Amino acid sequence: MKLARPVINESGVILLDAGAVLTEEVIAQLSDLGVELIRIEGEPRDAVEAEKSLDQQIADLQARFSRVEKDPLMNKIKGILLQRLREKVKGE
Amino acid sequence: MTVDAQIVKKRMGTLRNVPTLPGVFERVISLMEGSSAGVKEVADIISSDQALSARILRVVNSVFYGFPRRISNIRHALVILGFDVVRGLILSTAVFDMMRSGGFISLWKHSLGCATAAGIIAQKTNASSPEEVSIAALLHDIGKVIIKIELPEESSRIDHVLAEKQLSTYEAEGEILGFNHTAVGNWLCQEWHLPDKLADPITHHHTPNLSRIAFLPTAVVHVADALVRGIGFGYAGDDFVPQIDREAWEALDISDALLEEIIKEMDHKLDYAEEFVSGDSSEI
Repeated sequence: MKLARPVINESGVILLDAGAVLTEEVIAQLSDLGVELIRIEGEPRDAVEAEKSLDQQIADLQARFSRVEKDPLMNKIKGILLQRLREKVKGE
Repeated sequence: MTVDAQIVKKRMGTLRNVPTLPGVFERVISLMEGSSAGVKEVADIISSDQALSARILRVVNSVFYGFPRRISNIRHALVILGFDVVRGLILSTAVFDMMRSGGFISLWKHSLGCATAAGIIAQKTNASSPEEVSIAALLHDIGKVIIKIELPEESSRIDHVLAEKQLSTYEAEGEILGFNHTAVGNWLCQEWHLPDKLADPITHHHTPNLSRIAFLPTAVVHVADALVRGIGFGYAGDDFVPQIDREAWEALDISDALLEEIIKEMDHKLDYAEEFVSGDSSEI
């Protein structure tokens, strides 16, 4: 089990970076530090986003770019974002 | 003064007072404007307000994630980031309070995302100081908050016309108020005596071609705003990605490969910013 997001204290200092392996010892240490919530890899990052299918996320992205779709630069940006969206879903 | 500025000044002049800032801000400003201001003196004043200091450090470390050295105290922040950036940071905490108490967490998320993106663009293009431009980006939509809070009736008409006619916030504001959040931002910058390098991007992030004083930082915030909206991080009031100004884009000289690199890094750093927003909405 690995940490999906860094654990950050009140001043924004990273206590444990993303990717760290969560052994029982590490979990106990985090607990001692008063950390109540962590995110582990494989866990949906955002309940709403997680519920959205790839098709829905693509449709949302297309809608956001609907007013600028005729512009080559904006289309290029949209293309990169679409590709990353597909890669992200594939990687999960 | 432009016609817009005159209208805003008149409209905003009827407000009871300028949005309140932390008391420490006035003291810091007057000290920084004096010729003999020293880092220690300024740091001592800011540090005397512990809650404010903690929040400033939190914003510092969320916006400047990836900074070579973590910033652990106010004196350190002043030495590394400079007076103008720290001044902007104090303001940002006040703006965040306004956004949070007004229920605009999505706008704060958009602002934080824009600050993250602006820092990356500035760093990769050498267009301007990543720290300064990040602060300008963090504050770029402050005018929207003021409109929401101070002009509630007009604000609901803006929301209505925006939904009905599928307009952007900027367009809907123009239709209902005759001026936009950028003009309100400009008014606030004057009231708060912000330096031009922060005020210019706040004033012209929708119209970078009109920026005469700090064109490159303005271009960075303009592009960052569009990219963050493209990714869909936070919510800036409407669903549309704005057109990027050709002149601003060319000035930054971003190749296709660099654009991909910027977006990739944004993806990574926005994940981190997301953590702050989810924490911010409940903790601070």
